Amino acid sequence: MVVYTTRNEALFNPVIAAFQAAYPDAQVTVLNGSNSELGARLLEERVNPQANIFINSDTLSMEDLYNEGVFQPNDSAAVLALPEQYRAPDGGWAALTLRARVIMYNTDLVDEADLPTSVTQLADPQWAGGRVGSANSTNGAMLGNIVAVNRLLGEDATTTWLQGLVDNETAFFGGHTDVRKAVGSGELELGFVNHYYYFLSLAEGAPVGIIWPDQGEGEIGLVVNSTNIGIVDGTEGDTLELAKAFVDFMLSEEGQTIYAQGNYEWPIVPGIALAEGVPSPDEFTIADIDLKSLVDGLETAREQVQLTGMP
Amino acid sequence: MKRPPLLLAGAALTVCLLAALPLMYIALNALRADPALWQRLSAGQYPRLVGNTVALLITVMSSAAMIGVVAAWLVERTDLPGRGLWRWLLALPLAIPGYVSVVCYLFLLRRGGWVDQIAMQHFGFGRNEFPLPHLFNLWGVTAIIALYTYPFVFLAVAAALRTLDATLDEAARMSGRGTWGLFRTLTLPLLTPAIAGGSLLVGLYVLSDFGAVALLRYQTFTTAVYRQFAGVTGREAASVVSMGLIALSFILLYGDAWLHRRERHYTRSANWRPRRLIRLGAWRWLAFAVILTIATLSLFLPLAVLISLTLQGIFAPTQVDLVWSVGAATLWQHGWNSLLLSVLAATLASLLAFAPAFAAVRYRGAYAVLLNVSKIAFALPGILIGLGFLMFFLRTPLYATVTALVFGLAFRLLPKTITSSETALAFVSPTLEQASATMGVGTWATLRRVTLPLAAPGVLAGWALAFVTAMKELPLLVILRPPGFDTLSIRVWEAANDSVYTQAAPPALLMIGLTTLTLGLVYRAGRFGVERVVRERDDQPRITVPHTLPSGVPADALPLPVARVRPSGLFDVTAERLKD
Repeated sequence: MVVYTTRNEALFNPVIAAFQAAYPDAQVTVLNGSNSELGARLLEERVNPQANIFINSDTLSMEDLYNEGVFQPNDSAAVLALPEQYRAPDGGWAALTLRARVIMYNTDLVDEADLPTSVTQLADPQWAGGRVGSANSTNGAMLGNIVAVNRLLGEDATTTWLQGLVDNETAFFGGHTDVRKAVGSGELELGFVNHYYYFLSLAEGAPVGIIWPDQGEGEIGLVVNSTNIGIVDGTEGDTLELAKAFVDFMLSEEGQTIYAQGNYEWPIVPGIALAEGVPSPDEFTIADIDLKSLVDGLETAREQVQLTGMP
Repeated sequence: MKRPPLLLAGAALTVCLLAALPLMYIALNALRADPALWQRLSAGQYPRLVGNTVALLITVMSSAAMIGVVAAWLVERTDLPGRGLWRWLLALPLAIPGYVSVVCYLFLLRRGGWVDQIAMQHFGFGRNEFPLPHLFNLWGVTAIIALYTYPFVFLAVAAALRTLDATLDEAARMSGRGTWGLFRTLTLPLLTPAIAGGSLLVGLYVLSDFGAVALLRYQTFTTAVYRQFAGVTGREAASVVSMGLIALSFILLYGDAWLHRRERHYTRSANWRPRRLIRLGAWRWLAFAVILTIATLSLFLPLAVLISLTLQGIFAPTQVDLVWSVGAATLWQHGWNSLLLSVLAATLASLLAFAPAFAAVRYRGAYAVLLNVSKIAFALPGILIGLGFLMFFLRTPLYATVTALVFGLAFRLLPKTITSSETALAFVSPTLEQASATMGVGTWATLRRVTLPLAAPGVLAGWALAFVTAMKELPLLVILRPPGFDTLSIRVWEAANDSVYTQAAPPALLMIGLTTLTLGLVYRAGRFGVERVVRERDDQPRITVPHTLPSGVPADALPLPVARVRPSGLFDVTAERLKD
């Protein structure tokens, strides 16, 4: 069985090791790569598929690849038991973990009284002058976030928000790791990231705090995105059986625990123990967004990105 | 006009078409794209991308040219202390992948980086007080990229300087020129093709580079191409954006071809001998300081950062290090994979380059145009080149094997090897081949006994350049490698991508080490020819037969002009005649 994944090895190897302990005869080969390269490769490989499983952390490209026919249906009970907004209707892909979009801050540099409580406040003039960091528009989580805000607040308000971020000279990075490092080192005061980046920085001993934004009455709630799994179309015979077993394993208590705890994420299956210190998602208001339909709003989001000149 | 033998024409055509595969892939996808997409991209992004990319091209090409020419002149023409060592060391930044250089500089110079920490802890600066150079703008990007691309110019110019004729110098001196006047009116014009050739490589590199500019948050055509792959796999949009890259590389290649036409005016006379060194006197140590600064910034500093990161990972491992660490055996396995892949691909690319380069040089016309088209692939982002070849191999049983990867990588390297073979062959005078023919030697025997030995140094230099590039190659490997086949460049990227720099440093160091070692072996194995003549010049300058050395890039690029010129058979006869 060949697994293509965009997740890093340190996170992923323990999962594979646990799976191989359960299936000692299984031969699992992992091929790592970035989302853009592996996504493009899967798309081209449709006529001669090499991979059996794809695992990524970009909901938008998962749904896009699904629409292009990269995945095959999966009638596994574990997959179909997931809420509909977190999987394809035929089980072609399913979310494994959820991550919330949050704001992290450098506790040495920002007074608690001054902290923003909403992601929209990042566009306020109060945060002008390049003090905030964010991922740029090459990042799936950031793009998905823009689509979600479009749904929740309308396109005009979203464009104004993006324009505000650009006008504030927000530092846009290729990925969130750079953002969290910059906040941890004091290069920046605030960072707009996925929640686990805060926990990663905290584990390194950086002086950082976290804001779970938009929790007030009438506010939009936490925007989430997911890491996902799908069985690649063309997988057959014993390998297909193994691939299905792997998906089920990833949604089992053991798989979910190892995979989610390793990166401080929220398991998609309820009732799984969380990593130490991570609050339960039940404590928060979560924005009501159907993850699988986010991709429909992508074109609008890209136009807004181009219009506002966001990097 | 003469027509090439059918076999040669066929081989040349096939190779050129294969090298142009990614180009076809892009054109196909761009044409398939929605006209509205064209309109939106050209109105929205194009102007800014053109501005940014052209600005970066100009600044990097001119800075790299300046550093390269100064360094080459000091090393080759003056009595700079430690010349032999510098000639070697100044080429080595090529072995460091661009994004690794950038990561090293960010470690040192960003806010909260090592320099800032030292300033705060030992010199009493407060947070955000110490003035650090700003890296995230055009000038920061220019400085860093120029520091690891200047060797393209340095190698080309150094090679050209070694082959310049002393008699010209003497003539200029007799007509009253001083050192500066000599440099300005004689040396510089003679070096123009080499400077242009080196700068062309720098320019094409700048166009294709993604890692470094992305890390420094500078927007170019290539970062825009990658952005089209975010969220959805936008091959059409990426192809439309790439058309801008293709247009820019056309301009560069055309400019280079124009300068190269002038090159043919310079022929070397039979009584060629190497020029004498210029005695700098007290200025020697200023020159030494200049060279030391260049080497420190481009080589020693990044290496120092990599070494300290490696040591940190070994002696003070964090939890992350323990999870990531792959162990020495696996590291060597990755090293072996890298080495094997790069040697095979560079060799295949050198072999394949011969037919089209020979056809273009000897028969020109359509072949020369074709050759230029096949070079454009050099400027394209790796992801599109990978996809282009993937399209080609996909339906064959070769797909997802190491063989396919070797082929794909070889074609990725072809533009480089074709360029060097072309320059190398252009310097083999057709009259030698004609002389051979009049003596009744057949076409193939002439090729084997006259043309190939004379072109060998340039071809070998092209091999070295292709090898260095192959060791660093990343996007193509991500797309074409079979599952389970990892190389050093993949390992560096994996770890760096997750900011586990302590684990990215060991494979990076091994990569640089293996590259240096291989080049060193090639260099030692082939220390002949002009190199030897230059070495001997100070003892006893004597008239020696020049087996011609090309002056454009990358002919005689790395410091290994070299290669075995077998002094046997026909070549000897011709050589004797030249001496007369």
